[in-house]
Amino acid sequence: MKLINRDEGALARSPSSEEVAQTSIELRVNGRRQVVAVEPREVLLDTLRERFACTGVKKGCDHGQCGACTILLDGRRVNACLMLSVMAEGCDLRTIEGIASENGELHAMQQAFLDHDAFQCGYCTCGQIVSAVGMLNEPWSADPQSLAESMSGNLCRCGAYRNILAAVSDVKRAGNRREASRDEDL
Amino acid sequence: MDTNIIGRPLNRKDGHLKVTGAALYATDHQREGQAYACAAHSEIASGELLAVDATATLALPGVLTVLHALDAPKLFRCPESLNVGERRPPFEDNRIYYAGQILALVVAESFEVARHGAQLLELKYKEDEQVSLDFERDLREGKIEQTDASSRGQAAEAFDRGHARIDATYETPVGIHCAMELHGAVAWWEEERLVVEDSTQWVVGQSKALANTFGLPESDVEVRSRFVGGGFGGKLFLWSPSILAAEASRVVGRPVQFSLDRRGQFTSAGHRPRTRQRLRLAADEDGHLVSLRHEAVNQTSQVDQYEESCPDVSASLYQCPNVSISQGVVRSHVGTPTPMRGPGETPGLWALESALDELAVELKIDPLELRLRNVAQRDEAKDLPWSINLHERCLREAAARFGWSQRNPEVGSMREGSEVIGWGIASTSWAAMRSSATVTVDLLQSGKARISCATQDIGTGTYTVFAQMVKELTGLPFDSIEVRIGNSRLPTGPISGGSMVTATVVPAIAEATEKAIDALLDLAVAEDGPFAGSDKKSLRMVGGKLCSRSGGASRSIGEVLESKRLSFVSGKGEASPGEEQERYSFRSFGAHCAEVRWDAGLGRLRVSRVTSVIDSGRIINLDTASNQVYGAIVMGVGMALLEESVYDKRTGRPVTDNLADYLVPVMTDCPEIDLSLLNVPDPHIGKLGARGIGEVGLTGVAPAIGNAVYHATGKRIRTLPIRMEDLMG
Amino acid sequence: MKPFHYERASTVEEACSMSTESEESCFLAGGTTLIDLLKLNVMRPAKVVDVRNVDMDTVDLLEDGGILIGANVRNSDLAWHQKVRRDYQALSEALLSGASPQLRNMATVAGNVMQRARCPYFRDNYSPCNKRSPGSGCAALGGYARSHAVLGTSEHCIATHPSDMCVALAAFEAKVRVEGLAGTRDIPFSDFHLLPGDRPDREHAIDPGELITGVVLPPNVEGASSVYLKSRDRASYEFALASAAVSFALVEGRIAAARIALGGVATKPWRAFEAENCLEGNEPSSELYEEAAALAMEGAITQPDNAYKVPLARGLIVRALAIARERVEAQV
Repeated sequence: MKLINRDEGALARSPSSEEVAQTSIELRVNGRRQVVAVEPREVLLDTLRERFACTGVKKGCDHGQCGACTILLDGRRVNACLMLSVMAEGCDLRTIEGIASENGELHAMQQAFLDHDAFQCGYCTCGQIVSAVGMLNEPWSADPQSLAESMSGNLCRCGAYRNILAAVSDVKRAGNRREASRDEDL
Repeated sequence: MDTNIIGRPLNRKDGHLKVTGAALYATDHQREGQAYACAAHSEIASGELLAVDATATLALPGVLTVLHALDAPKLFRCPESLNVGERRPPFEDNRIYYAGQILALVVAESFEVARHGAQLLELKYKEDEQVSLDFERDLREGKIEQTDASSRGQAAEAFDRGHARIDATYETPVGIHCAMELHGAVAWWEEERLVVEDSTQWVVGQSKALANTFGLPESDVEVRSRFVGGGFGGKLFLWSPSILAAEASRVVGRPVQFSLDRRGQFTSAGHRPRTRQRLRLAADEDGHLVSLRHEAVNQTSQVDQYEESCPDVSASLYQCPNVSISQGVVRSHVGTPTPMRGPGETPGLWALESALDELAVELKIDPLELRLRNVAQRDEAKDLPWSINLHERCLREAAARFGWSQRNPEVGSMREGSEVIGWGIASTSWAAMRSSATVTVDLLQSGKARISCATQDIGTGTYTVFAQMVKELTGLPFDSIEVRIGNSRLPTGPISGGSMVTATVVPAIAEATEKAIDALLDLAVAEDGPFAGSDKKSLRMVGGKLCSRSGGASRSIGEVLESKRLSFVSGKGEASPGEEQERYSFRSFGAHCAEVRWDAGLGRLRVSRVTSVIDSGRIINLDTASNQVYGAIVMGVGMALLEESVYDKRTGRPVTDNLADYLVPVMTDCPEIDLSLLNVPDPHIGKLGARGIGEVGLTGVAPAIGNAVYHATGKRIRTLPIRMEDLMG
Repeated sequence: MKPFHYERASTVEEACSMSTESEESCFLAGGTTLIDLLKLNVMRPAKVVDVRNVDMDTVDLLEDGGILIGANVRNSDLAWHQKVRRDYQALSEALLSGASPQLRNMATVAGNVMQRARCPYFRDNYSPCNKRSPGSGCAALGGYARSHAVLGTSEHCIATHPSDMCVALAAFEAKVRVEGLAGTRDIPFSDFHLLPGDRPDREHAIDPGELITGVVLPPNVEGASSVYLKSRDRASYEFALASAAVSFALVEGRIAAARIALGGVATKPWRAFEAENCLEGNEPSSELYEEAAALAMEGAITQPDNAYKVPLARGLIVRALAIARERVEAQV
């Protein structure tokens, strides 16, 4: 058995990049609409970083294995590295750059990360925060085990998990309390 | 000096940038006209590159150029006196020394075109028949180069006379740093001058190394690294991405971004090498060590001799009259290893602290007690007194906080539902060092302060600690202090490695700040100054203002400078290790207690709880220091149970070369952590007595877990990581 | 990544005809498998047909009490779906144990059914691999095979089927609904994934031009409870080293409608029919569970690195059966 196999016998006759039509798509990133011409193979992560200067969306693995590129797509957290840009047409995209309010006031999750020192090198942090904001829209309970599971798609090699969990728990519980008091009001 | 600079909680200086995405890491920088590069890596582990057919690649629209080893650019080696990742620069010749070696680089208008171009390259090889890939076989065949050995007493004879003896062999696998930020850079040339937005733990070293590589004067290279997305040792020294980005930029005449992909991190940017370590311990009836032998071998590459100095810690951590240690290397067709968090100690203590646990079982002495009986009164390896040694206190406090006295020593005796619980203990230690640094502190007309030093913050809180020091000494508000680091052109600062930054720089910051204040005082008491005629000694700085010790009006920095029409005054501080290293031995000590839970039916092994007590001298910032230790414990869990970079023995290619197969802990793997940092100033390591915290949190975690696994299951696993299959059946 | 044509379909018919126009085309839904493998150059379609606009993203109740899960339903939506959590608990648990919350928000039901192997030699794009490059050999044999299959293997391929969801679907006797220009057919789940045999590159009983439009789940067996257990090194975000989905009911103290399916140990989502037969009609006991578990793993062919999977899977089956019984009894 030869141990290198680059035989591309099963290879499709790929079109050349000239043959593939570039398409103009409109993306809505952090509330801003912009038309960009992309090749179908362009990946959303690269588009966001290079054409929208959203460099808070990080390339940690490029294969959906680390969570550093987490963004919100119509409010749901997803990995931007596993989406083609053409797939995001017509969607509302939110990155870490669009999480704070317009006047610059930090989102409660950002503030909690600051207050709990929930990061070290900061590289995974943008993805962690966006992921945690997305988590708030999902039916997770506020107990620590559930929250740890809910955040398990975001690797942190500095291992700041203890503080991240504290930050996420704070915001989740505060949200639950608000909901509870709203329910009482009704 | 007033020394109440003790970790009051302060949000990190760089925190806001980091939680908003505004902190720019190396490849976040985008330059006008930037091109992108992608590498092609060797698929064979040993041989020659015969040809590179780039026809298809060059035909792609958007491809600018292809660089490769057969079209070798003129890159120089760095001198032996300068540490680099690989001594051999990329493309030096057509030899292939390991699978994954970078053989070609495609530069293109976009990343996707560059990647496509790299995939289309046809590399033709000649494979060598002689390939060294099998560490075990190489060891059996005795292909070991001895690199280091030392001894005291008569270890062999004493071993034979010992009452209880352990002779066991321990192994640690190849570990990968897996910083979340890949090794990458954006490089461009300004005339003859090279500028690199880089990711490095040592801007000064990186710029020196790049200057050597390209034959430039050091003043013509600027390395910037304002934010580093994790290093853990992997970014201490120069690796090929920065070189190739710079070379590609030179060739295409445009800024070039190049980053390894995640797979490339597993072959081409260093790793903790595989080790095998034989421990022979003997003790008398009371459990006092009478003989200790620690022989270690690590794998290294064909092109560099990297020693993982595992046994050094064994020579000094415990008291023992008869000790012999040795270190050797085996050359394999793998990439060059590099330090990874706690180099030497981390694998070394896996062996030593596991062996001690085995000895405790043999002696039927509690493993905590055995360690207490052998605490070293002085550093017998260096024959020096300790500057301070709180090892015993750490052990006792960790045990007390953990509830060690409730431990039933019988294996498998502690159960809860379907889980069997095990408790283990291990010592942790790290040799404390400091290097040299120059710092300038400027007091500005705007009333602010500016601190400058060519060091970097790899997430350890350097920005914050620096600002905190100046705040403490000047009374200026935290927000009024600008910290300028992460640029090689600033005054020379230390490498972010070996837990040295704080210990090294803190005295220099103190000196620089005091000198800046003194310069301001000179102005204040000068003829037309606001305190003309006063004695300097009668003034002091409070709340960022000068005032008389006896009260009265105060003057701001701005007012004093205004009197002379000056923009700022400066103080320069320099610190280097003094002669204290000749008089004392410096070590940080600690103890970890770990609880594991093993559910045999589910094959589920988890670390549920860790208690750590650590003495690393004075803690400057309790938040950032604690955070580092929490993270170290998580990394220790990974080392103990998850992490292993596996190579296919037939081809030398890494098999688990991604973050789905090389498992780093996720949040659900993080145990409940109880941490106490003793915060006792080291009396001799320099002003404030801080020794650094980065490594000592990790060394010792894995053996605490391994010892707990033994206590739970009765299985002594000597090869990391400990996997479910080791415990089944 | 090579260039490819990209087209968007808005109906099933459109999708099928778009895909038949090009020999080397593939459908795109969540993208979590396809884009991963495009980047690795392991999949190289000439055309990608995006089916996300095809209207098949609801979970519909069927008259017989079962459900029809639209092909585009996201894994997370299905996992949290009330009916699924109540009647098909193992399915919800399987989904929530798979991948990460982000990936579950992207991945679709049909995409999960079509998930490709995680074998490192399949993914590296240069090792011999009969799945990727038919006839080239299997580098996993004699290589690093800790995560590889022990059931359903052949001398040509030992790649594990990586899905969690499919294991639960196998246990619930789902049917995969496929539509093509020739019409619609429902393929029983255990017939859908093919054993590698001498053609590991053929993975599914689906014809070119056919599109999965949904998964049909038969009604839950009266009084049955189910559970999904998964074993892995990391506490989360890892493929199964072994997993078990079991379901049964108790009728007069005896096991009825026993279902056992295994993941992480086989080349396809694995139904353990003989183990089910062994349980059927008997009173539950740990001895019986052990017997069933042993039967389930009979005939396993192990590699040096993965022999542990046999006792591991046995243990999971036994534990899963015990938990299922607790759940059955708690219902009463």
